[in-house]
Amino acid sequence: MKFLTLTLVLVFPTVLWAQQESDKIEIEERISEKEVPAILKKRVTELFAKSTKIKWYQEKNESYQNYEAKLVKDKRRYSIEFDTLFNVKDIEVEYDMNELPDESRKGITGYFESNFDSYKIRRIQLQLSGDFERLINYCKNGLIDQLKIRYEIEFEGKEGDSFIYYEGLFEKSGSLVNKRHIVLSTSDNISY
Amino acid sequence: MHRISITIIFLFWCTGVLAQSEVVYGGFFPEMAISKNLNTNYTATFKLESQHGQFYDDESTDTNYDYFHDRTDLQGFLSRNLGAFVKVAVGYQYRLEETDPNNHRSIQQIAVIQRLFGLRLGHRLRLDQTFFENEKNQYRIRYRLSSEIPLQGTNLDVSEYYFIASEEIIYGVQADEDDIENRFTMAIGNLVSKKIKMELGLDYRTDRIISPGDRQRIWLKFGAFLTL
Repeated sequence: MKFLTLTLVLVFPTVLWAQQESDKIEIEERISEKEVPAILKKRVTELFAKSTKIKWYQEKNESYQNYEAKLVKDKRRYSIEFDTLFNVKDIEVEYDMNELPDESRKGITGYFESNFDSYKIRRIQLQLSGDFERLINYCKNGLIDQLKIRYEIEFEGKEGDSFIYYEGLFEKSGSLVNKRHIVLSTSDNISY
Repeated sequence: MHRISITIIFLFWCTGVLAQSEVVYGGFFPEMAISKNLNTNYTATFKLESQHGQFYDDESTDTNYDYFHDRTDLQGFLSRNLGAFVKVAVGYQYRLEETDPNNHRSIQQIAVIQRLFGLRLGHRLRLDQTFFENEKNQYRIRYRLSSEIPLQGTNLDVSEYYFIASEEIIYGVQADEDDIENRFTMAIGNLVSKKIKMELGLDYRTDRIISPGDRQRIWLKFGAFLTL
């Protein structure tokens, strides 16, 4: 019994002490269709066929809550993000590097080659924003004209001796708008 | 709902299978890992695992429900990142056992994390060598596949719950005997903060699959994983 007591004495105070660190809490939570305002469901059905299976999410933190719809169409993942006034903020669509226009690909590759010793692209999303009618035209017919195009790219970049995981936002030309370091949650539970 | 069904099926399956084994025991199994990043590439990790038996059953006696301490492992690792999702580590373990002399173990491993949509997979390939006082050394190779699934969104956010399951196969050689061990776990966890995870679940182990005297152990496991 002394081992059990010793273990509990060691484990719990450490956890409670470590828990006191405050985190800015931001949660993306799956919600049911019933919880989604009707205007948002209407907007999504204008963008995609009614039969498309849609998963709804709500992103919350202390000061705001946004809705987001995720779906797969023609084996491609789409994510539609709404602003607080329920307008479409942007649509993000997964692409491969070799699907990007030459201009974008050259610009993005040039950025990576000149800023990192080596790099690995993990995910590319085309970020489309603009007039709602134009977004409908893209979702229904694939026409991308007159929409603002940016790329959201998750990548590993080697700086010196270290690999850092980033999310970068790039213009259509391939120039960097901004980037942020993605802090991954602890993986000790699946590594040790 | 699917996950709850899987859990229920697993529990019924365990109940049936446990009854068929020569040696069956289990109880409470707390574990805790504390990691400290030494710089951007190197991390030191201390891990404590402790198994506390609450029941013991073999073919010769009725089930005994007296408490017993089975073992406590003290582990230390030094890991190096080979990328954002790949790290290699070397480690040392000191095991305190109730019935046998304590022993030493050296460990080498590579761990790879795969981020998929709504899921995180962990692959771990490990070699270990155990040095006993009264027995020949034991050499093992083991592979573990883990999957971590957020229960609320597509990414695991702070304060969110997740489901985690793992399956590990271990092949070991000691003197002229070899053996296979299987370990299956499932748990519900919570990402308390970016640096803290806590889990509660079941750990089911079957060993002596090749060698005689098959043994099964089932543990109620509580895990805490902290990064300083």
